[in-house]
Order: sequence, then C-alpha cells, then structure tokens
Amino acid sequence: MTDILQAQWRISDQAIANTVGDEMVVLHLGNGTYFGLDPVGKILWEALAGGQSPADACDTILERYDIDRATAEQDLRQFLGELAEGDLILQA
Amino acid sequence: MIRVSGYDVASYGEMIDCEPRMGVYVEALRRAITPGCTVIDLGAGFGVFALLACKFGAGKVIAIEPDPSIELLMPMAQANGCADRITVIRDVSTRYTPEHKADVIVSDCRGTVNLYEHHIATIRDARERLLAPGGTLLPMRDTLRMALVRSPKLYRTCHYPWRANAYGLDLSAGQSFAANTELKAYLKPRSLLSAPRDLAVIDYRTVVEPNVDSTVELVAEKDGVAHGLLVWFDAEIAEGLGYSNAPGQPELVYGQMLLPFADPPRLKAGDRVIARFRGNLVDRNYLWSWDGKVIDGQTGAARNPFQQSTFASRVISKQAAAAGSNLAVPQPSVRMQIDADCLAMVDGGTDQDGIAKALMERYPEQLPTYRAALDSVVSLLGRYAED
Repeated sequence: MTDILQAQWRISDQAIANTVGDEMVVLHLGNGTYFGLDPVGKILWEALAGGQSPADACDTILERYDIDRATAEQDLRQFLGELAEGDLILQA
Repeated sequence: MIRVSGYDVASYGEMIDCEPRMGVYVEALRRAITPGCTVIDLGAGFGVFALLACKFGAGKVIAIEPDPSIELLMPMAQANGCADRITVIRDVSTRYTPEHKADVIVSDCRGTVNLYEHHIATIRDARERLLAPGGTLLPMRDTLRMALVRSPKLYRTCHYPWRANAYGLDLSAGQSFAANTELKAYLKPRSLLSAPRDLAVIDYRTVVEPNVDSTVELVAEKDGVAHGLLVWFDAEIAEGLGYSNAPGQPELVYGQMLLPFADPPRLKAGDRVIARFRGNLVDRNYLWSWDGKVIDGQTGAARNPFQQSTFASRVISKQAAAAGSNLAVPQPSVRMQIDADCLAMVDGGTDQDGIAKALMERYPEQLPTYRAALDSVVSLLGRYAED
C-alpha cells in the first residue's frame, strides 16, 4: 500500500479556501463543512494547490520549524488523511 | 428588546414603486386569475400581490410571510374591501399545509439575482405541495446571464485603500478580501466588453437543484481592462411578460452583481475569457465562486488565471470555522447552563420578569443587573417567538 505522503494529490474543485494570516479555513462547497488548518496545514495546502507533493511540503516545514522529519511526516500523514476523508483533496 | 422586520416598509414601498417590475406582475396576475380562484402570495411582504389578486377577482387569497410586515395586510385589506377573502399565515410556507391547493402562486423572493437564500427550495416545495395540478406559477422562468465589464468607478473599492492610499500605509492584506466581494451594480451598455452569455435557465415549474455550476466563453469585443464579470437575470413572469436587469434596460430594484477580478486583465478585442460560475447555497446564503482564464485571441495562449470566491471575502477565524464544523465537540459553559435554566422555567405561566429575576439570583456574576438578565431572557426566547 502506497504511503499517502508519496502519493500525488490535487485539491478538489469543491474546496475553497479563506486565508487570514498564517491560518486557513477550507470550505467544502458540496456539503458545507468547514475545515480549519493551522500554519503547518496551510503549508501543505498551499503546496498541493501549487502542484507540489506532500514531500515538498515536508521540506518547507523542516525549514521553517524546529521539528524532526519523523514528526513532520507523521503530522502530514494525519493532515492528508483528514483532508482526504473530508473529500477536500483527491489522489491525482 | 423588540424584534424588527428584515425589510423596512420603505423598502417594500421601493419594490412596489419599481414600475417595470410591478407592471409586469400586475398584468401577469390579471391574466392568471379567474373569478373565484384561489391564490397564494408566497413571501408576501405586506401583501401587495394578495390585494391585487383580490382586485382581479380571486375568491380566496392566502398570504404567507414570516416577517412581521405581514401585519400590515389586514388593515390594508379592510381599506380595500377584501378582508373577507384574505387569510394571513405568518410563517414560512414550508410549514403550511393548505385546505385547498392554489390555482395561482405568485412570489418574488429574489435578491440581486434570482438565487437568493432558500428561494429555489421554497418555490419547489410550493409547486409540489401547495399548487393545484395545472396551476400557474408566477414567475415562470428566470435566465441568469453574464458578461465581461469595465468599470473603474465600481472597481475602486477593490483597489483603494488596499493597493494605494493617501496615508502612506500598507493595507495590502485587505485587498484580496475586497476583491472577492460581490458588488451591486447598475452598469450601462458602455461598460460591456463582451456580449452576454446565458449561465443558467431556472424554470420554476421544474427546478429542483438550488445550486448553479456553469461555464461560459466570453469574447471581448473591444480593447480594455476587464474589471469583472457582471451577472444579472432576465425574468419571464408569464408567457410573453418579462423584464430584464441587463445594462441598458430600465433600472429595477434588483440591480446587477459584479464579481470583480483580483487582478483585472487587459483584454484586446478577440481575447476570450473562459469563466466558470458557481452559486452554492451554504447555510442560508449563496456563496459565489468564479474561476477561469484568459485565452489570447491571437496566440491561443492561456494567461491571467483567476480562482475567486465570496467565501474569501470575509475574515473568518479558524476557531469560528471550527465551531461550525460537524466535527466540532461542543464544550459545556455557564452561558449554556443559563440558557438551559431559562428554557426550563418556561411553563406557560411564569412571565419573563420572573424568569429574569430567578436567573439573576442564580448567576449573579454573569447577570449582575436585572436589565442584563431580562435582555438574556428576551434574546433567547425571542428565537422561538415566531414559532
């Protein structure tokens, strides 16, 4: 089974984002549910929106935050799982 | 604290004073009503269509309106000698079950465009439950239209003071919010950069889905900076009877809706804009989303991509959004307990004064004064006052 960190993802066209400072709120137009992203989640979202991979987002996070790679990857896996479960991102 | 109407009476007056609109509705009612028929005035306001229906010979008219403005109808009906034929239902129509279905249902629950709050769902419910077989729905059909426009004057709110101001301040963080805000417009034909295209035809006799998702190709017919996409509706109230909010038509109360471009593209005649327009009913209101790109008329190359939404027009905190999520786990608070106690004291005999005094005694820290306690009670119970 492919690690979701290695998979290619794209943002659903049902998802629209609202950014305030370093936080982001995403709305699923289809079901009207909201999803709040913290600064790390926002980095992931912006990477996917720009056609980058989760691995690229991980590198950005390691540059900006004082955390180890294993922790960053674990956080990203959780984020990706939640976003996919909410139909906000889709496998490309 | 007194709950007031969503519209003031002067606003209803403006709607009636809008002759191109009213003239068409009046003629449509005159044609649709047969002597003695039953008419429902849906979202009646203070009930001007109900009064007209009586004037044209309806035998029974039901005016349905949750807003307190409907209280004006019966005095007016008495003044017009038709009070015995009118029934007022001060409620939403989806909770109303009629004794007899209506031969004619007349309504105008639109906003700037015809997609407005629960308009579509209300019409659908009325059509399926309240209208007799073969009955007439007024309006019959609306067509949503779109064109490219240039309007530096209207676009000013998207540019100033965010990108330039006289105070030497960097306010650029606000620009994207302003540029994702829909604007009410009354533009003239000289503002049009392209011919209009149909976005959606909403036929009230068949419509089911409240959301719209439509893509159009708009071809620039002259050079200029495109400040946004102008959206409006053309109405057909009945066969051969309609009005339009298009630039160049007489100004109506509805106006037009401008969806601005965050970065207005400079177009040459022959350039094409591929625009996807979406209207999604979320909670009670429509969110508008517009995305697409410019295709150069000479080279065919794509440029100036845009992806915008009125969802991005408001500053929304992560906490507020989280509270609206179905995944949120509410935490108990003293404020909730006060409300729970308040509701528990509603027994059909205790007045608000008694409830307020009891709450003030139980929660002196949160409700230190009688005024604060009474406001709390009235505010909470006011939610149920119309039920």
